[in-house]
Amino acid sequence: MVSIGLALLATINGLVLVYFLAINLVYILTSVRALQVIWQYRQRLQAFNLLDPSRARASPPITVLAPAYNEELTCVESVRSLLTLDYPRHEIIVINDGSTDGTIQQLMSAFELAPRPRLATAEIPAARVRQVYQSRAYPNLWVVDKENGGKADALNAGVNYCNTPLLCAVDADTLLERDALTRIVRPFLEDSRTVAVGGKIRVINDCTVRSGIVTQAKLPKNFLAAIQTVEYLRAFLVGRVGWAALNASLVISGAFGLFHRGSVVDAGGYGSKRTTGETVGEDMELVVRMKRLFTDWGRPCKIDFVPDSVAWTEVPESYRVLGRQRDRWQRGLIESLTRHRTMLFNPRYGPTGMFAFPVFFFLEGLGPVIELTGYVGFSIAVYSGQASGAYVIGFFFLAFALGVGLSAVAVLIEEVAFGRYGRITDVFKMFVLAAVENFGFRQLNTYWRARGLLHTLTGKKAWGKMERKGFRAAADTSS
Amino acid sequence: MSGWFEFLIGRPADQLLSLGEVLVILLVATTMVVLVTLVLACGALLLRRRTVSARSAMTVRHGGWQRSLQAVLYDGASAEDLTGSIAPASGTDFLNFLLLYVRRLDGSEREQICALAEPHLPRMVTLLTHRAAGRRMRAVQTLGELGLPGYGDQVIAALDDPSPLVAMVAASTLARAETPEYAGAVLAHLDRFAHWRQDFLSAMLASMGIGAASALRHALADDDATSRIRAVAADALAALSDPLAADPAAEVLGSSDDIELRAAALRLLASVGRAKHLSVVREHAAAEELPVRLAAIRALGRFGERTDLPPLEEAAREAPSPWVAIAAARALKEGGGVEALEALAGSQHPRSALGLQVISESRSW
Repeated sequence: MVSIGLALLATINGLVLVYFLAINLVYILTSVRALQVIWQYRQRLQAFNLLDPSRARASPPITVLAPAYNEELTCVESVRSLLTLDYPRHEIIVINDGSTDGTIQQLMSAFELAPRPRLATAEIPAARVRQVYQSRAYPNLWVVDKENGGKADALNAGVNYCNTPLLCAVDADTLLERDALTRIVRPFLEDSRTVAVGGKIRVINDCTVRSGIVTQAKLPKNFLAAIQTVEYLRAFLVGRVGWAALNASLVISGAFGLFHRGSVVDAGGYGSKRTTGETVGEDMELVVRMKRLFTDWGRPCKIDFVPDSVAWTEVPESYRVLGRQRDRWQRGLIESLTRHRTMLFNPRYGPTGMFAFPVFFFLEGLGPVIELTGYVGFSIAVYSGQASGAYVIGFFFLAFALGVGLSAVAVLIEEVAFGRYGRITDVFKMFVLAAVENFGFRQLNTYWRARGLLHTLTGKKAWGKMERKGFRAAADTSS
Repeated sequence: MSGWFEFLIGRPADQLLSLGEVLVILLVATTMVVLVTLVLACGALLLRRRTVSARSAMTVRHGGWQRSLQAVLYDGASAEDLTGSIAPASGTDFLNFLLLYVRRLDGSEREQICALAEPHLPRMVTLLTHRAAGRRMRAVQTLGELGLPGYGDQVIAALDDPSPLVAMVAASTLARAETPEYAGAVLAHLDRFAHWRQDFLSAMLASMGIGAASALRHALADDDATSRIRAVAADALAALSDPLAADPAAEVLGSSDDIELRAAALRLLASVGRAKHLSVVREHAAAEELPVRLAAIRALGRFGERTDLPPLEEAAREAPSPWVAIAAARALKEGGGVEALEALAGSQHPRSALGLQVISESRSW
């Protein structure tokens, strides 16, 4: 009996070791590629003027889709920000997803909305549309007022009314930088096989916002929000850049992504209960589905990422809300991966099937459970005398050092390549946070993600409510 | 089992460390993590200081050059004084400074700026063979913006650079030069940009100006050229509103099966077509291929006759594709068929909202 237990313990610890080696190998690989790509990108930006007038003339029209549900606190400021976008030809469609607060009233009074007919150009199933409005003050602003159906359903309603070749999906509480569209459209100009492009998300908490524009980037005062700033830098500047460079992107953030409209329609739109099935991770699910379907149909499908096209978003400042968010993200990840599990180790899907999908499935999807098991298993091994303390400490030190190193690389890339944080103390603090996050926050995050995995198995579908301060409040606080 | 750990750490599992030893190791490990972080943070701090001081030095330097440049351009000051004040080590920075101005100016002022750049351009030629594509890109851009026509051969040669991005920078700068003789070279290399968006390529070609129209017409009519190049040429000619391109466009419609090429030829006719081209446009107004049909409908809206309004109204009401219906309704409005749209808007037809939509719409761009 004891020998079986010891063998089991050895197996678990061996598994954790393999997991640890594999995930860090992947992180190092994506980091190295990300460094290369960003270095080259910086060089090409010097020679290639994105705001060149000939490019502006050739820029394809874009429709920005902003679904809103009970966003009365932030919707007006967000729409104002969208109206300042510096892009030659763009429309904005805000989709009010049956809000029960004053979202539609706020929009109507702020932008002088009036009912207008508008023919739908696609028929993706979505909840009933009550009315379509156009702004008298801003003719490129439209509002689709519909019955509640969830975020994916709202986006599908927006896609139905989109009549431009490209559509940009953003969260209603997201602030896009003025040149965000000009920058994110680049891969579509350079490669007509591109079907989707992700932009970089930055944390807006405590930043100074004036007229819908972030005028000064600051590290949030709140500890959790500050840690998430470092996390976002790591996820976008190392993860997304690296995966896109390996032509194996599987995720485009729902907060900011640009899509080829026809491809979204052909893929059946966002996953909702009226289309391909409900999911809490509709952003990832759509990307994975496009990749899968287009490969099956023999259609080109390139998914890219632009590191200097920026959207700002508010992140949770309480453990409760953050825990719910991470739980939901993990459920979305697992749902998307299991729904398209046929891609797993399938050479038909190229680097995505053979590399990215297994990494996301085994290391990101099941990772939290393996990591938690590792903490327990190693403790038992040390306690029972089966492993020396030096080995375990050495192992964890290496794990933490790699974790710190990865985050530090992301902060370094941010400072060297983009330098958005004007105060050097903020950059200094980010390095400290890169170390601090490994002691407590990382374990807590692992717990939340493991809980998400458990909730996937038990069929939990809830979204959880995000509590927002609103950008105006954020601006007031910082000034 | 214990052997497995012994293999990993070189120490039997039963020889565990004491609590004190564990604490020492933990302390050392944590200190190392903190030190590594501090080193990186200090590195970033130094980097920031260096960047800030380099930027402020550059601002001062550029401020001085700007005053001298204005004196040369507008007060008749000697150019030699300015060129003589540029240290060889600052040559590249001076070229970068001149690049900021060269696009905003033309005529003699532009020529003066190019003359100021001339002594420093040879170092850019050496960079054309640099192994980093970014450096080559910058060199091509500098030579293309400040060194044409003198360095035209080098920039044209860069169209064959192994990096497609370097080739694109070469093509863009040659196109911006608005010199017709470069049009042939750029057109001959368009295949290098096989995946670039067609609108982008045609806008780039159109930026060469009406002087390039002859080369573009030749490309459009060339049966040996790829359909994509011909389509790009057609769209560029449409942007240039070249009236002489209408006949070749009509001929393309009679001879090509390629969807994109036919659609581009119809877009060209929408821009410059005349009554004699209407028959060939009408033939395509019911085409099965959506891009071709949409382009033909839009062309009819631009220069169609009264007799074209009923089929457009029919399409607006009954076409299964909403895209065709919208294009037809807009063509009706543009072609003078507003009363037909008003009738549609006032009817009980399922598409009545479309009539109202198009009557009331003013494109937001």
